[in-house]
Amino acid sequence: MKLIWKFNLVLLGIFVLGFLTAGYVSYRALQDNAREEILQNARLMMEAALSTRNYTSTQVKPLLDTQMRYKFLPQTVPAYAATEQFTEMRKKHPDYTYKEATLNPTNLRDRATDWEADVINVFRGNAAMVEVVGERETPTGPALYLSRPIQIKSPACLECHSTADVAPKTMIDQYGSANGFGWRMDEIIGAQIVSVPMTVPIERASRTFKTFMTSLAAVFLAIFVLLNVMLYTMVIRRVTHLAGIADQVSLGNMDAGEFKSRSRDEIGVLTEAMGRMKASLVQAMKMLGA
Amino acid sequence: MDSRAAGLVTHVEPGVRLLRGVTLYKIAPGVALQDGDILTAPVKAQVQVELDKGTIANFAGPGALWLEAPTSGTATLTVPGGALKLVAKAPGVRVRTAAFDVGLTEAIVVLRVELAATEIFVETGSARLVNPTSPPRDAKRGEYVHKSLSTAFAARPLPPRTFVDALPRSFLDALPALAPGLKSKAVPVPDHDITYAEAQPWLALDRPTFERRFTARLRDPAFRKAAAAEIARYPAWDRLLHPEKYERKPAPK
Ligand code: HEC
Repeated sequence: MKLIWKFNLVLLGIFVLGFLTAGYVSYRALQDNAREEILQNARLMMEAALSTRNYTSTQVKPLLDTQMRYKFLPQTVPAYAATEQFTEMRKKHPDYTYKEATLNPTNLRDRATDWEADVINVFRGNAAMVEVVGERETPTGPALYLSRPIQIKSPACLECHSTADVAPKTMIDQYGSANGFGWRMDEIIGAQIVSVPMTVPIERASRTFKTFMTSLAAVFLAIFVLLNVMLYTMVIRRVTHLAGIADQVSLGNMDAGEFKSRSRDEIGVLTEAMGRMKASLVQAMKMLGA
Repeated sequence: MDSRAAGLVTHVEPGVRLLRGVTLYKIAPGVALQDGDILTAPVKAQVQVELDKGTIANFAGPGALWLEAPTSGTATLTVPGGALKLVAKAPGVRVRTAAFDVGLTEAIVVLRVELAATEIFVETGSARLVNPTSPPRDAKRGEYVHKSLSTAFAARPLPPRTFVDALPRSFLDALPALAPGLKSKAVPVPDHDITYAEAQPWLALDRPTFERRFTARLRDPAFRKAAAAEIARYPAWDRLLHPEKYERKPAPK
């Protein structure tokens, strides 16, 4: 097998191995990063929802206490405030959702759908569970959801959520007495569920991956071409030339050419040596012929 | 507040006038009110009055508010029409309307008064509702009571939406006391003397009182002419304008 073939075979082997390893490692890292970023987004949304809830109960509700005597204002309800805030946000980012999914909700828009009910039941079945993260297909592509349980921890909640006859009349007037009652102390009645689209970060990660792999391939190709050119001009061509002359000399053709090199590298040294060897050979032949 | 002032105007919106004696005045926050003063407010205009001891009345037109504050005894606010939010502090205040009267000591109430019907909602405390034709009735915190001249008291455990929607929005919030923030006093600026048309509703409401009060206006020919057209309604004025009618005829021989 020719030298150049052997050389290229090894080089190709190394490149393929390197390409695959780099591809695998960077793909995993980029995807993990993207997922981490999505999760981070979801966490931030969850925190925003909790802040809205707190702000509403500590700052907004006290301001509206007097008005609440005249009519019930859902603006004082933390769950409503958080949901409305995200409804507003969804005008610009329709793929992001926040829901206080509840099995028996006061406002029917909060009723848990099938998969949400499954999440709630996971929490109901395991009181120690504080968070459930999962992925789900939606019509607009895959989405990551982050959920936390809603538990009745304060007797104050039961004023409005236990039975219709202890609830404020203004509230019954607005919501009726059919839904959102019968909640019990410490019961997990629902879950806050944040849903964040995965398409964009995942696509971005894929794009980055492609760019990286393309440039890596380009670098490999350049190295491959350059090494081949160098190998050919600096080694193969000169060795072939040397071998041709040496072949002629071995057949007795002393006029085949000169072993001469301008270069001082190893092949240059070899050429010089062969030149001297040829000169010695010519000398020896002359002495024999004499 | 000087000693004989019955209250202080602390908020005034455009169009509100003070009727003192027979003259209508323009007023500004800081005007002191006297016994017998009447505040009139056009549609949607609000005026706030703060009485001694922290009682606050915020009144919204269209309508009028007549303040009677005798030196001893509780103040009376007569409301022929309009919406009133009242924060009553002891010794309390009485509100008179056509359909019923309301007695309050420590309470916050909102009233909507029309010519022949009154609605009241008790925000806190309780209110005693009095009417000559029915037994007195206490309205409790959170209760809404309605009565017209021809119907009996009707209570509901929460205010109906039509009532709430008809109130000025600010009535749904706590009434702030504005008197402590008032920097300076103000004096009423005379606008015009009351015309017969403006006087008529008051004469209809309480003839003897307002006949007496508006007598001075009979010197104005326009007023006298208008009153003369309906003189049969005003015996005191008739006696004044036509004393000959009432001279004792000498006994026939
Ligand atoms: C003053 C009455 C009141 C109190 C107190 C109250 N809620 Fe609610 N809650 C409501 C109303 C009304 C709604 C429906 C709001 C809407 O229209 O979205 C609601 C909605 C909710 C929801 C969303 C699901 C649903 O039922 O529509 C959750 C979750 C919730 N409340 C939890 C709580 C918790 C936990 C507490 C105690 C910390 C509490 N609530 C206290 C009145 C109340």
